[in-house]
Amino acid sequence: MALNVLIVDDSGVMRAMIKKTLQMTDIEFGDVLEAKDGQQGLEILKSQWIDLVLADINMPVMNGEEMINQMKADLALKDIPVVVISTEGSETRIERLKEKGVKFIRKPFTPEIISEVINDLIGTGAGNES
Amino acid sequence: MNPKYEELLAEITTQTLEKLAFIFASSEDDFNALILEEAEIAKVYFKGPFSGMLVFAISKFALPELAANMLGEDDQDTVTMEQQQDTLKETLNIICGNLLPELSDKTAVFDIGAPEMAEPSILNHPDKKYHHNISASLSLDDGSCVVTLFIEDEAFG
Repeated sequence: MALNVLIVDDSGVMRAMIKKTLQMTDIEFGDVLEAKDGQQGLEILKSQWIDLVLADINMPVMNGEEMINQMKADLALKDIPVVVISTEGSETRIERLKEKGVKFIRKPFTPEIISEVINDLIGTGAGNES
Repeated sequence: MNPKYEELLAEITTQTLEKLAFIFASSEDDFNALILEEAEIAKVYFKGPFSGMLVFAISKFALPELAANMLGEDDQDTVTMEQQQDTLKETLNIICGNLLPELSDKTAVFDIGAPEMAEPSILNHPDKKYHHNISASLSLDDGSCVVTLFIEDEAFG
């Protein structure tokens, strides 16, 4: 089954990098949608079928943590798997995110890490490209 | 200032450039001094157990390669100036996010602002509120870069 993915990051270059990285894995992706902040991300989540969210934390307008909180409070969105891809280095903040049930990938990342975390989360059973 | 901080800054910058863009940096003696007027510069402010600013300056002619590699574009000419600046800001953001926990307690919480472009004066005439600065100069295959951390807190280090 092809996964519809939403990438939420305020950096256009980072969204493009993540998109490119997804193409390097052997996971089958359907639509890959993009949002530049949490608010735009929520709007897309409420209007499109999304199987997986890849989100940054530090963003203007609405940050990633607030977006995740709103997803968890919404019955229709609370079970969508979320992977946070961030520069966040504080173990305190990372633990707080993990308690919300999200996976965490620290920037800079490799295609192997992205593939491993998505496989682990979605259970696609696909292996790494390498 | 502890010289280990400079080594750490150089190491994190080197690793970031390598992982993000397959660009190899070296802090060896053959460093060609970066001419700030011929560099693109970005800055980011942070607050936490200590506060300050991190500045990343890179040779203008090295930036298209950095951007093209990050974007996975074969042709550097197709990369816009906006994408190049976005690349510089994102690289700085990643260096900052990885550096601060290493200089502090790893449970410490820092608030990192949005990176923005800066003028050479930010390095030539930094604000007097900064009591310390740590700098790492690196040679790239093509050009060079300098990363400088400015710290407000007198007691740091």
